[in-house]
Parts: sequence; structure tokens; C-alpha cells
Amino acid sequence: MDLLLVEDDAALGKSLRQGLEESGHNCNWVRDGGRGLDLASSQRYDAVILDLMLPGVPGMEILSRLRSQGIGTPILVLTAKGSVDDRVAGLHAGADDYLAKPFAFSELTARLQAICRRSQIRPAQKLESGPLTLDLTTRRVIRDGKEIELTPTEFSMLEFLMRYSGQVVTRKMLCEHLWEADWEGVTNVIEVHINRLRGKIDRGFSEPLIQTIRGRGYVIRAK
Amino acid sequence: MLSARNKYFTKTIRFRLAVWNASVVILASMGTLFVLRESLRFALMSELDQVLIEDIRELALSLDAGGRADDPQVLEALNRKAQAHELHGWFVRLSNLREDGGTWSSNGAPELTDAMRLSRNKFPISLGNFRIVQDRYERGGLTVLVGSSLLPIQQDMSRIDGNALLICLGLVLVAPLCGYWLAGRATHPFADMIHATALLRPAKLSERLPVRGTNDELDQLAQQVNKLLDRIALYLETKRDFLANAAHELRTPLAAIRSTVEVALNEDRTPEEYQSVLEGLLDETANLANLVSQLLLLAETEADCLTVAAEFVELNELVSQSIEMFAPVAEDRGIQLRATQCDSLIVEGSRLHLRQVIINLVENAIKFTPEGGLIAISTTRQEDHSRAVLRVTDTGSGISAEDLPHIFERFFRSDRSRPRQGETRGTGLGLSICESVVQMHGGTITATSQAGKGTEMTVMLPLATTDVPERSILYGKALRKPLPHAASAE
Repeated sequence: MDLLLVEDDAALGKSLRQGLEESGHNCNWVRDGGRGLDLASSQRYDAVILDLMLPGVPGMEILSRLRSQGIGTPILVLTAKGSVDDRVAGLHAGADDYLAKPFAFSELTARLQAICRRSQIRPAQKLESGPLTLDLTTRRVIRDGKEIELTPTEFSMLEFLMRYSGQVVTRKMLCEHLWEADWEGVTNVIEVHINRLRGKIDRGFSEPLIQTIRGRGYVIRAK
Repeated sequence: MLSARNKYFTKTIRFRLAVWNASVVILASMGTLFVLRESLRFALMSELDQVLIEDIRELALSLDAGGRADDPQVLEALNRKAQAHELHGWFVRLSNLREDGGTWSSNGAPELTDAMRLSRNKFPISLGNFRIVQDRYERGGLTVLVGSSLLPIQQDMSRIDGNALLICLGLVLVAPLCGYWLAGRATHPFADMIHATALLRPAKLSERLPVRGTNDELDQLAQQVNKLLDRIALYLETKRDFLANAAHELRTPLAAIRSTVEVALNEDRTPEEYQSVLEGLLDETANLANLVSQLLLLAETEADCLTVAAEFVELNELVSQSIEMFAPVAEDRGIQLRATQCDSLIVEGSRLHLRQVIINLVENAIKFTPEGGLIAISTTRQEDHSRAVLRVTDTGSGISAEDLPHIFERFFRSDRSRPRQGETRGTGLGLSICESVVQMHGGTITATSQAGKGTEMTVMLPLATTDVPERSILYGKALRKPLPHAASAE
């Protein structure tokens, strides 16, 4: 993907560009709001990653100016302010998604893909991941022709993992998806839920599908 | 200083009080003097009139007796009377003495041409400088006129006027000065208060305004200001402590990160070792992020009123969600987690924040309850139907009596709240956040505990005043309504 990164913090910008380039994207990094606005309005990008507190033109203004010019490039807003009000304001100004600092890099890439996909294709009715299929309409999960019974929470969790199949999903993302809360408790709530899901999905099969990535989260991956 | 005073001099309360005071005193005195002067004049005039009427009656009697008035002896007697009369300038005039219409006047009587025409019988009038009364007789056409000069009265009055003028002048000079002095005395405590207030500094909040003990309005004001200062001082103190504690709490994970990195860089390591170090660092940053977001949540809920729109929240929905969330965890640990009583209760407020309260309470309960224990969550309506009561009861290790009063303090962690294997240490903010959220919603949170037996956390929240019927589909949905300021529920 061709990405524009507008971020004034040197350390964060550098690491994000490196990370994005290593994940196979073209990343254009600018540190100034005015420059970011020029580029975003003159060139074609698949997505823009926009910090809100910028020198020159502030992020909110870039957002509203781009949208008023009729530019519909998906925009992911990054900010240190994470209150509900700030989120609402950002989304109203035309952002496609909102990510509060600090965030996991894998969450950034997952959200980037989500906003690009949202603007392109309709969501699939059936998710597949190697031997595992999940039917969104009948709400059935089948692995190797064998149906697996899941609780609603487990189903929802598996659906989320399969949507981001092959990508790391953080505990925070799961929490947000399951209970609409960006809460990451002290107790290992998510781990326990994942373990139960794993017990149902992977038990009795030679190849484990759900893998834990230490310090980062979980990934569903089929060979 | 002086120029500043001059500039606003006319705006000071002292000046205005002095002006009002002087105006009232001057106007009231002038009015009184005027009324007094007029009454006096009226009294003098009516006395004179009385005398004149008496005289004319007497004359009528003596003249009537003779029927005719041209007796020289009578006239001579009248002349003498005019000279000896107690009133200066007294005179008598008789007209139509005889049939030929002649006129006789006593000595020193003035010419009064219009007198006959103007006056009615026995009715005193003023004519020029004279007061006259006349009487006409039916028989013989005799007219008697008695008069007296008004000069003595006028002299008296002008003397009185002169004195009154002097008094007024004195008042005009003295009243503002006295008023200014009095106003100065009255507003002097203001000046003291302004001076004392100007000396207050955020860093030196031990200073208080002087209370003079007179218990007047100014004293009350000073007392109120002092109370406000007490509260501000207490607030700032807790803020300072909080800031210091927060910084301290942030320092620990930072130190861990720093030392981890430094140790890792000390010598060359294998890629696996680097990987392990970096993963450890990720865990540490997750802890830091968790602490910071809890601090932010606390700051958000402390801001007295919710910035997000309030909604109607069904407590049971939050409870069942939390149970669903924690059920597997509890099961793994051999703890029973269940809802024992679920009254349908709707409160008004922030759904996310209220759920955080339940999550924190359940999380704490799980943390301190051993295998085989029971955690019960109940939602009931208070007997008088005014409040929702949420209870989280556990059969855990309990809180010691010495710890119990401190559990809602920020960063307070009981010595026994050591993390289990594979768990990170709590931030010590969980119950502070609960308290802050509950208070923001106008409720209370209390804890009772017996060491070794268990803990009961009780949250009371005001029920939403809503007409939503009990089984409405709107339950738990966002019926947007601005949240009343929780400040009233101090």
C-alpha cells in the first residue's frame, strides 16, 4: 500500500516508517502539517496516518480540509488524547478510525487494512483459515468437516482473529471487540478466554491454529 | 498606588456610601427645616389673625352699643388703643361713618385702596405688608377694618431663614465629611480583607483572612472565604501527593525498562536473547500504558461532570457482561462466580465508566479469593426505592481493619495484595477509580470486611428518574440525555 505518515515526533515517526516499510508498504513520512496537507491533497495514497498535534496545520484542520476538498482517502488518526470526546470529534471531522497512543504496531497495521478494506469490498459471509471455516450467516464453525460448538463470546473472538488472519491481534483489540472497552485488566481474562477457544479449536488436531506471540498478542495462522 | 486610588475613587464603596449618606442627611434636614419654618409662619399668622378677629368683635360690640361711630371720644379711644396696642402697626379704619360716606382712620393707618373690595367679612387677608380683617354692618353701611403690619412676622421669619440657611450650609459641608469618615469606618474591614486576600499565594495557603468576631456580614464572608481556602488547600495537598505518587509509580517501570536495556547492551548476545529482552520490554511498556490510562481515567472521572452524554444504563446487563467476562477465569481458579439476585435497575450515567466499576470490583474479588471460594454479585433496590444497590461479596482473604480505611486511597496496596504467579502487580488505582466514578454518578461506595472471612463491597447509585417501562426495548440503550452535574452530590 502507498501510505502517507504525518507525524512530528522523530522517534515514533522513524520506527513507524521502518515498521511499515518492512511490512511491505511504501511509506512517505512528513513531519509538518502543511506539507502533509499538500501531499495528501495532491498525490494518491491508499491511506493516510495522521497525528493530531502537529506543527503548522493541526491534524483536525487537515482532516476537515481534505474532506471538504472531496478527497476520500482512508485516514487513520493517531493521538495522545484518547477520551471518548476526542474520538467522537475526530470521527466527525472525517477520520475513518482512531488509535490512541501508545498502541501496538500490529494494531496499527490491522486497522490500516481494515479501513482500506472497508472502502473497497463488502465483508465476506464466510471466513476461512486453512482447515477452519466460519460461516457468519449460520454462525457455524467447522474444522476438517467436524462442527465445533462455541459460546457467543468464543465465536466472536474467533471471528475477529480470522478477520485478521495471519496478523497479530493484541489483547486490547480483542477486549475492545468483545466488550467495547479499551480495558486491559490485571487478571489474564483474555488469556483464559483464548485458552478455552484454543481447547475447542485445536484439541485433537495436530496443527495448532491459534498461536501466542509473547508480549504482543495472538495470531491465527494456517500453513 | 495613589493614582490607582484616584482613578477608581468615585467607584469605591466608601465614596458611594459617603455620597448617599450626605444626600440623605442634607435632604432630610432641609425638609425638616422647611416644614418647621412653614409651621412657625403659619402659627404666627394664625395668632395675628386671632388677635385681629378678637379686636374686630370687641369693636363691633362697642360700636353697636352706640349705633353710631362718630363719637369723638370713641375715636380718640381707638387712636390711643392703636398707639398702645401690643401689635406694632395696629390700626383701625371706619368707613361710611355718617350718611355722607366719610372715612376715619386711626393714627398711622396706611392707605389701602382695594381693601374694601377684596376682603370678605371677618376673614383675614394679607394686603401688601398688612394683615387686615373687616366687617360690614347692615345698618347704616358702616364698615370696620382692623389691620396690622406684617413686618414683625417678616422680620422673625427672615431671622429664622437666616439661621436655617446657616444650618444647611453647615450640613452641606459637614455631612459629606462625616459620611466619608463613617463609610471609611464601615468599609475598613473590606480594605483589610482585600489586603489579606492579595497576599494569598497558591504556595502559601496557610494564610487566612482575619475574623474580627463581630459576626457581621463581613465576618461571615471572611469565614466562608476561609472555609473555601481550607478546601482548596486540602485539594491541592491531595493533588500534590497524587502527582508525587504518580511520578513515583511511573519511575519503577521506567527503571525496569532502562536497566533491562542497559544490561542487554552490556555484551553481545544471541538473537534469541535479544528477542527475549525485547519481549520483556514490551510487557513493561504495556504496564506503563495501563498505568497511564488508569491515571487518565481517574482524571476524567474527577472532572466533576461527565463530558460524554449520559445514557440510561441497565445495571444487570453490565453485571451479566462482567460475569461472562470473568467466568472462565473464576472457573480456572476453582472459584464460583454468580449473580445471586438481579432486580431490574436503571441508573443514569456513563455505561463505560459504570462497567469499569463492576469489572474492578470483580477483578479484586477474584484476586483475593482462594480456590473453592464464592463470589456473589447482587443488584437490589433499596427499600425506599430511591437507590440501586450493587453488592460484590467474596469469601476471600478479607481486608485487615487497619487497611480498610485506606483502600480507596490512590496507589494504596495492601501488603497482601502480592500478585499471583504470572500476574502483574495492580496499579493501586482500581478502587480509587471506582470511588471517583460512583461519586460522579451521585452515589456511594463502601466496604465491609472481616480478615480471613471475606469482603463485601456495596455500591449505591441513584436510580434513574425515567418513565421507561420496565421491559422496554430501550433498556440499556443510549437514550441520550445530559447528565446532571454530580457536584451536587458532594
